[in-house]
Amino acid sequence: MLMKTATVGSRIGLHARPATLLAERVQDKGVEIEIAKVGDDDFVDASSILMILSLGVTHGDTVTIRSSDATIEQIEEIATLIESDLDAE
Amino acid sequence: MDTDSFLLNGVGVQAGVAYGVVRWMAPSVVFRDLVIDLPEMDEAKQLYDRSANFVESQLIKLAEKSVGEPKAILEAQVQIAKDPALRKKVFSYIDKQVPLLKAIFDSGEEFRVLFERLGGIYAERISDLQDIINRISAAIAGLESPGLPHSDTPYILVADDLAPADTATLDPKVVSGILIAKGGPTCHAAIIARSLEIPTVVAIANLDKVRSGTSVLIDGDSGVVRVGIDGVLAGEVIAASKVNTVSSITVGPSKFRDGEPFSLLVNVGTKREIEQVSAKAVDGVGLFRTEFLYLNRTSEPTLDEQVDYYSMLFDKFEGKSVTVRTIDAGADKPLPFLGLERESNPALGVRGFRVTKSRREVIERQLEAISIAAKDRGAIVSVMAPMISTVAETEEFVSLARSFGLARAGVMVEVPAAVLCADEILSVCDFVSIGTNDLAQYLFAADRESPQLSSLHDPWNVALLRAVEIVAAAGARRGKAVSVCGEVAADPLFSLALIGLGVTSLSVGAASVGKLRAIISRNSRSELSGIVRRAIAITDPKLLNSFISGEVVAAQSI
Repeated sequence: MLMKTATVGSRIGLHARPATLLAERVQDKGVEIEIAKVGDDDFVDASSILMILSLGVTHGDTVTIRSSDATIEQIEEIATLIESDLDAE
Repeated sequence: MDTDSFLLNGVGVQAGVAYGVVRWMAPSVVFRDLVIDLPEMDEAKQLYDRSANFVESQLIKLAEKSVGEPKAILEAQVQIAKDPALRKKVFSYIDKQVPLLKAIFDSGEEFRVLFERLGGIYAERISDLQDIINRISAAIAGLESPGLPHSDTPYILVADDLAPADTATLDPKVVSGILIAKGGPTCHAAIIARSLEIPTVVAIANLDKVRSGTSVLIDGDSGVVRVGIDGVLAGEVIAASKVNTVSSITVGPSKFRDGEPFSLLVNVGTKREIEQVSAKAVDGVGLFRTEFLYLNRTSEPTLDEQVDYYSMLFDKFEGKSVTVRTIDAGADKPLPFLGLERESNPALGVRGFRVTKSRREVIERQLEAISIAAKDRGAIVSVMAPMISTVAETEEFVSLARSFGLARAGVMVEVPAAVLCADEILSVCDFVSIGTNDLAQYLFAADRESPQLSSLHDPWNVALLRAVEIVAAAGARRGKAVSVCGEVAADPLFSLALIGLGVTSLSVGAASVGKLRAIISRNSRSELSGIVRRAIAITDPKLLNSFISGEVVAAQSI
């Protein structure tokens, strides 16, 4: 099981466009990736926009990314995505 | 007065005036209860997948045709249509022998509850989800997706709520205005309306009283909706609003004919208003309505969020005065997160500053955020509290504001009791601002939304002018500012009457500033004061109005 934490870089948190982009990217990978708010061990499917939204993650929150079948590079890529300001794109 | 005509109030989210015939969006079918033959188990799952795919491809097409924010919303909806967690939920219901449509409905409900608990911007996504649930269900039932009324002639679109996919096909040549019962400044209808520049009002109470086929005039700036207004009167209002746009570009400080300066300020509230208002065109902000920050939320905005919102405006008005009104929730603007109890008479209940009685921390946090945002920024920031009735409440607010380091604190005069104690109130605060709408409502004991009482809402009823006079005179004695920030201040003739009564500044919607500056420049304070002194002996509103319009300079030619 690979794990990595990332601090949310988007100003509005993982909502609207950032949540859409994250779900899309995870689906593209074709592997199971889960995320949870740090301190809050409710891991959810990161390919589901509804589950991502349900975390209520706001700007500056730290999330844990985990997967049992993704590569380190794939996890890193998702972490980078979460850390960037997706609104600005 | 036609009893079929009445006023409704909402929140204007896209400025502009529109007149037309109302068409309601068809109510969507409650698919949960629709009785049709449905397959079970594996076949039901296949049918779900096919229908969800169909909706997904529908939305991808709509998204391709859209740009900017609407596109982003539709792309998010594409994701919802193919959402694996939603699919899993639906399938687990199917496994438990739940009929397909009910399975879909209940799955949607589970997410709705989750989002509602999160509140704020998350709760605003519920309508996106609901729309997907409806579209998938419609596809399964073989029905057309709920959509806009078909029409070749322009109409005013009226709906409880609008889904992004409805609005994606919205043609501004056909839809000339939008009225939404629910929503807030960031709801989809608002976002789309802005991108298409269609005059729009949201969060309108009693919108269901407006029938399809009725003529309405909507003002997307003030949020006022005139229902059942005849075409001639509507034409006059629209012509007047066109005049606004023509002359509202004037830049520079406002002055009377003799060069004496007069402080002309602007009312702002929504993010868009903040973005669009030109700091060069006005002397400052006379009324910063902060409710927009709280509207449609089930939880209080965080301190940081509040600081960001205020900073945006304070940055823009460097070197100018900005007056922030603390949260004015209540009768017409209930805020879910305040958790206030329902009242039988909300206009006379816990609203405005009275909220401190149960939720003091909300106003404290707001003052803290204003204070943090004001620090290191060039704007000259003042705060004022709404719905103040006594000297003691004034003192309480002023000391609260000072405890957060806010030097300038004033109160709104909206309650007749505050008019009668204006002298003493002004002795303990720095300025007052008269909210004419509420003051008129309480002065005449006439509900603002009651169509039968419209003659009592005529601002030319002399009692309202006399009330303003009392407050302005107290300000003059104390050497303190008395402003008016109600809607009536935007009426050129009425604005001159207010100035004549001794009001020291006016704060109006951005669209009215240019027109007022022009009319003020043709008059002088001393002349106006002489005219109004004679006028306030006239008790007939029509006569009072025509007396003033006959005396002041060139009101009609503006």
